[in-house]
Amino acid sequence: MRETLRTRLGWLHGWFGYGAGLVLTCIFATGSVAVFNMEITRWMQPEVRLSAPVPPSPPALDAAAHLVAAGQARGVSAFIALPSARSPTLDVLHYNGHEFVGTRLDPATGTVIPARVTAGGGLFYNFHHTLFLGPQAGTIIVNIAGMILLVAIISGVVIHLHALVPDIILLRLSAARLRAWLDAHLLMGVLFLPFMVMMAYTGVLVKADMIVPVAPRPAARSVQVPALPPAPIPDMTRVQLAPLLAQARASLAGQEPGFILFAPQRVSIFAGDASSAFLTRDHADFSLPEGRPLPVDATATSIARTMQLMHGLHYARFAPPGLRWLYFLSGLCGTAVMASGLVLFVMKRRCHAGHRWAHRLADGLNVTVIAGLPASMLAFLEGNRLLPASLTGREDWETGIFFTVWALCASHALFNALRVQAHHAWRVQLGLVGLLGTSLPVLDLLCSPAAFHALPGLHMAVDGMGSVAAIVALYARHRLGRQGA
Amino acid sequence: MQMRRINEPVPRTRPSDRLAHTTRLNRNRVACAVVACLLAYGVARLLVAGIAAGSTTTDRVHLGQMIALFGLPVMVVFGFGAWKRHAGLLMVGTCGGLAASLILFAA
Repeated sequence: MRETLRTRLGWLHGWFGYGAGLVLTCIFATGSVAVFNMEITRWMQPEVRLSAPVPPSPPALDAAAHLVAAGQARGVSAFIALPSARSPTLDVLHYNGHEFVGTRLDPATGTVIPARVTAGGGLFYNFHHTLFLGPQAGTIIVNIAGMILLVAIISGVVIHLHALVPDIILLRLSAARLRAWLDAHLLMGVLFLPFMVMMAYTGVLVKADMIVPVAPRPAARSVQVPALPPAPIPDMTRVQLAPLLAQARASLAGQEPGFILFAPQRVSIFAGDASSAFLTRDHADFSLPEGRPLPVDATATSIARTMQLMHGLHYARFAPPGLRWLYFLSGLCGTAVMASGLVLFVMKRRCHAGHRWAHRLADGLNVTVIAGLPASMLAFLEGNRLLPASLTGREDWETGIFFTVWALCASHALFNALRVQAHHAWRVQLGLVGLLGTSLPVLDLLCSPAAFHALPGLHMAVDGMGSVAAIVALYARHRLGRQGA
Repeated sequence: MQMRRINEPVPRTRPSDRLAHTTRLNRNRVACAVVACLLAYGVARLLVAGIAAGSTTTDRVHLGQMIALFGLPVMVVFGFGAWKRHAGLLMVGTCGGLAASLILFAA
């Protein structure tokens, strides 16, 4: 075989793409869903039926400050999330190691809404950026996968450079199966190339310090400084947040306040992430307990602004609902590019390597990622409706359902694939996605009809996405059954 | 070297030869990919350190990271793709030398 640039980069694209593609498909799928993380959390808390945000009243802010003080007394560092268009409640949240969880208050009255504890959309968000492997190891793995995605994209563009424009309009579904899969991979790959490059580059840049950290500077002198005693926490119940919020709104110049964070000596009111495409995190600081404004340096250089834009583009928290849907659909198409690449990789090698155990393992892993992951995501949503609302450690149960269903799907897929019955595993797991997806709206209507009536748009969107997943899975199952493995 | 006439049939290679050739090719590719990745990563780190050298603000660090993360995948593809006489790897190594000189100039 003659070695050319195309054959060489084709090898790189195939092997790097497959190796990282298994992880990247999961990252892209959960990231696409995480675009609606707050909406999914609202869907998973049907007790919260507020539809439009109202500005928080002074009693509600005081109630929130009391909860923060109570949390600090227990050693929990909490903050206040102000009502927004995406989450109309006044939340007192803390980080539990995986997600932000806490109490939801009615912003008008300050009464606690007895909402069920849930992992919510935060599970998808956390899985997207750490794979649930912890903030250090998980983030590094995700970053390396993101970098390999960029390598695969560049090598893919080079090997298809001569046919980049014709590939935009070429889809031959009635051609041979390998050709049809390749057409689908190329069509979506070319159309969503800018989106995938943008998401991969900004995603890697968000955590750049972990992948290309600057070398640590040598310490000027190694003088042992005695540890200072912890600063006394001021009495939060005496702090009047409403006037501070009004002052912060004036000083944040057009940006709506989003979070209130507390430190021993000061309170910081941060601009909400939805304020602009630049994730500025501008803030107004006040001393505690007097509430005196503190000087803040709000100047940002052009490089800092560029970094803020990169963060903003990746998180898409500025995006209105229409743009958010575009992000979601583009993310799903990016997932489809990777999933079709995984299938192509195995199909191309079936003739000469189909008998090898490694090939069967790859087939099983494909089923686990492409059919098992959606099944576990749907099971997670259904678990939210089926678990008792007052169950202790509910969010851990929900997370457990997600991973247990996925592990079962993986075991089933690998067991069947290693027995050369991957076709059976595909059919069963696609059928499972169909079953779970079609039963999601029914379960939602049966378990929380009041929430469905209060927020029909939200519930129809989430249930509808489940139904669409079911239709796609059942169609794929139908095609698989007709054409064989 | 003996020339082959143009109308002469191509000599058939034995399957065992073909297998050995493919194995050797794959081994070389894996080795080249590993070297390209490690070299490109080293150059990216040097770029960040070189651009940030002599500055106390985080702006230069961010600029270095933007450039390094843009260049890293390009360097991997180039280092692996331009395999004739290891031109790609040499080019990436040269970039590393330039990045290292940035640090030396700043010191």
